[in-house]
Amino acid sequence: MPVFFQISDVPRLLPELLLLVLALLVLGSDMFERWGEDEESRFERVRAAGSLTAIGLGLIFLITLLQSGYVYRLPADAPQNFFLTIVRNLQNGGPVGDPVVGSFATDHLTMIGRLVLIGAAFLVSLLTLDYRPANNPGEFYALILLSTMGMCLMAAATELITAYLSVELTSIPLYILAGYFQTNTRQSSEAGMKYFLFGALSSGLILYGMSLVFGFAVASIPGGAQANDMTQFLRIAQATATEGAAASKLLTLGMLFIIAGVGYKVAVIPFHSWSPDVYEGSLTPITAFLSTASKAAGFLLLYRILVTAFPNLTGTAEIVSGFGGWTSLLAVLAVATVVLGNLAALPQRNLKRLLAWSSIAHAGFVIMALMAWASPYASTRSMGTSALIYYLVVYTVTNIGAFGALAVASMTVGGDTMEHLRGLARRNLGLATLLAIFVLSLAGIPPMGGFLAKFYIFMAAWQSGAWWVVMTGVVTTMIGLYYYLLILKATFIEEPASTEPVPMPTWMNATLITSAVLVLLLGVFPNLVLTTIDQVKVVAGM
Amino acid sequence: MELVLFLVTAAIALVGAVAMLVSRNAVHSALFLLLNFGAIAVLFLLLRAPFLFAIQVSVYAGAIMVLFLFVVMLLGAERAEDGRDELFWQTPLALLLGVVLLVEAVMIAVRGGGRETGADTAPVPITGAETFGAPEEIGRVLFTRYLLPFEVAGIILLVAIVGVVVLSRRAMAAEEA
Repeated sequence: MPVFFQISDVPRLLPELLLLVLALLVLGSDMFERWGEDEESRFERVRAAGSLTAIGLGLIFLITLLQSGYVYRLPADAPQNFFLTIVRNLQNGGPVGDPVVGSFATDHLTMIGRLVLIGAAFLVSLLTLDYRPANNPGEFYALILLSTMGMCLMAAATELITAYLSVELTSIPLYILAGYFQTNTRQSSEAGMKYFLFGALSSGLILYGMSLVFGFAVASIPGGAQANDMTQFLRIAQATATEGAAASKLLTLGMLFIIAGVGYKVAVIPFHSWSPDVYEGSLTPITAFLSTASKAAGFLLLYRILVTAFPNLTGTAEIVSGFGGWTSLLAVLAVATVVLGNLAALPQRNLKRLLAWSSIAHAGFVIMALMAWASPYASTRSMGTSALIYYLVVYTVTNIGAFGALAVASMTVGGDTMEHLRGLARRNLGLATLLAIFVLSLAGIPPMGGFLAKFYIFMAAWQSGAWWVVMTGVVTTMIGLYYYLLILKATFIEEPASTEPVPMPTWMNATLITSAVLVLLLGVFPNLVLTTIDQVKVVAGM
Repeated sequence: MELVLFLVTAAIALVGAVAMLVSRNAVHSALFLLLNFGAIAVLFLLLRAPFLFAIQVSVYAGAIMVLFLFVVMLLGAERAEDGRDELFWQTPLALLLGVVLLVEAVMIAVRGGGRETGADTAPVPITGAETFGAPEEIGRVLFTRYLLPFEVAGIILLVAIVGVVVLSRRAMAAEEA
């Protein structure tokens, strides 16, 4: 494995580099232009930064898609000309090869992760386009872009230090973004502060766990020579492959801290308490970003760490007899999360809080996919992997749509409680229908994507023997149906407060329609993405 | 000799940490934290990690502490606080859980899960321990093996600068209005 950074590694890092360049471009174009002070030019300024970000993200998404070769792969005998050579060089950085300097894998997991995360950022940036003048729009969009870059790094990190720093690069912009808007100063500042304090604590936990794991891994190789590559997940797995090392409580302790730290980032119960307040206080598109992209990145990181660094500690899905390993621990977390998340969502009247609790519950379902590793069979494990990624894709699209619909509602109706949504169908049938699609997908009703996503997860967890986890999941899904249907009841059945039609901002409309189409497509033709997702079977170097 | 030095330093570090938590005056807390940082720096020296020692003294004890004291004095928070904690049960509960975690960690460290196989006994001395934490070696791996995280750290600093500008300008705008 090359230790030095090669010039040929640059195309492999291209999406991240492009995100960085775009962020600097947005920042610079806002800073160096002389903007007027009147309302008109302030709006112009916000629009400029927003459009640049959205167009740039769209382009980066297309480049990443081309690089991954999932829709089009250049045939080997293609003619040599300028454009095709560019494509060829781009695709050479595709899903192949050893991790870059041992710390950045460009495998299928990374490729799909990038597509999901950059796609989510693209949709979110479209959602923000209709917002009225904000302060410092350049910085606002640059922070979104840098955070997206951190998320891509999280999905690709194969080494402890890179993993930690990418978590920080993701979180720090999000702390600032959560407290960005002063229209409701107190709530937004409170959200930013809370998020920051919990995030700092969880970073501490991750670091503590990592130092324990690193120390143990170094100590368990005889002689301890060449210790400075022991931060790599694969080397940790190798060093702890002996039976005595795997049984060690010290390694387990380190792993526990890492799981707890990442658990904060993805808001799994009992590490969830920040999330309803933060989601409620932030601007709604930012909430959408927090609850989808940052969670997806967290799960991808968690998956890669657990699967590549701690394969010797997997354990069983049993809790009564043979409790042990991370699958048992995650089973407990998953059950607690789906039960409490769904129950706490029941009495919520503010829809942002309701969706916050629902997104906590969804984190529990995602964790169930990791149960598949309790099974010794490779087929079940790869099924779990596919289920995990499929769920993340569907959930990301659906939740961006759901929060987007709320953003439209709070912008045009003036609030995001149940009362504000009352009779929405009679004021704007299109918006109500879109909201219904997203809500039904979250609830897991066919033919929406959410149904198949849950189905695959339950199937993978069932096959690994975690039947009691699956039973809890099924029951709590039914409980969840109640509050999802409450939203639809308010929207479709209850009498509106006024019959004035609700306008639909252009870009938000476009985003919502795109997400809704994706949700339906994913639900009806899952094979469109499943064939691609199935390639993730092999995580770099396993 | 080394053991005596270790025990003394460790005791000072612990006393500093506990005193930081219990002292009611924010400036006192900061100074006790400084004491703790100094003791930890000496511990690094005992572990033959001169680079970490220098970093600990200059960054933590130097830069960060100055910043702490500056903020504390700027906000006028140095006077003793006597506000009652609304969640009175929180402190004993946190203490209890902390003690449980401590006992657990100590048990694992001392007894070890894999002791019979010898995996958890005292760490084996690393070959070439003298160069492991030396500045040259750190510099070398920082720019070869850990080049990518190093660059990422640079971007994080950029984010921090942007964030500070955004948040402080917002506060100024709110003041003017």
